[in-house]
Amino acid sequence: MAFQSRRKFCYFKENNITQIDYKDVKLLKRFITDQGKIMPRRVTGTSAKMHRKLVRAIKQSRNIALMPYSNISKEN
Amino acid sequence: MKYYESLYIINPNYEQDRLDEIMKTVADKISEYGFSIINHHVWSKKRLAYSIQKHKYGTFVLLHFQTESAENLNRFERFMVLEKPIIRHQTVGLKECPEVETEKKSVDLDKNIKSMTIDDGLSKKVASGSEDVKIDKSKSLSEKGDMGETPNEQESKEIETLEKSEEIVEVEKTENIKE
Repeated sequence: MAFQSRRKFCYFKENNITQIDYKDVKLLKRFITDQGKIMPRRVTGTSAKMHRKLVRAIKQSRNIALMPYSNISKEN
Repeated sequence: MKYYESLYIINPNYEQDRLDEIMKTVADKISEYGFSIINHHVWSKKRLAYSIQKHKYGTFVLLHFQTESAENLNRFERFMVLEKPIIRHQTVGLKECPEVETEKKSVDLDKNIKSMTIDDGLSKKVASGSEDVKIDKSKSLSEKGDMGETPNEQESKEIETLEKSEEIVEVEKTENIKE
């Protein structure tokens, strides 16, 4: 095979994390783009179960202003 | 038994006294609605990811409480919305009982923000400058020979001044001999 893809793995399964806290911004920042968008599962390799929890945590975090909805107009 | 976690942001311009007042009103409301508090403490003062009501910073307060029935939860949410000093709040249900934090952490509210701002460095410079001035004063006093007026500072400085004063005394003695 000419092209060998990098092995994807679920970050949460690898580290035995079952619950995601919305206050843990350091962790959640790994799963958003520079613009502040949530990265798709096909990019991060997160399992479907944990991705659902992750999305929920990020959205809760955005609501309480710990994470940005959008980083595009950051200059203002 | 159901457990809830409520995180709310208080206006960052409020000082410790008013902060305590607001926290007390919230705690009173909680007990009025029949909930019991597990944890209630200031989390930290943080920079907000986006400005809320033109505030760039906010004081985050974390509240854990438990209840048998969630009847009054809507009323509590309504109260939090109407309370003016609280600029944003969010209540989340918890599956497990949160850990009870017995130790009251004395959070330095301005500590986080001071590191970000430039003013802190300036103030530090000013402080160090004033120290320099003090040392200069003590030196000038020691040169005059007025040891009684020098303030009690560090031991090393005192030793220095003592040595200098002794020198001066010796000089004075020699002058007397010459006369």
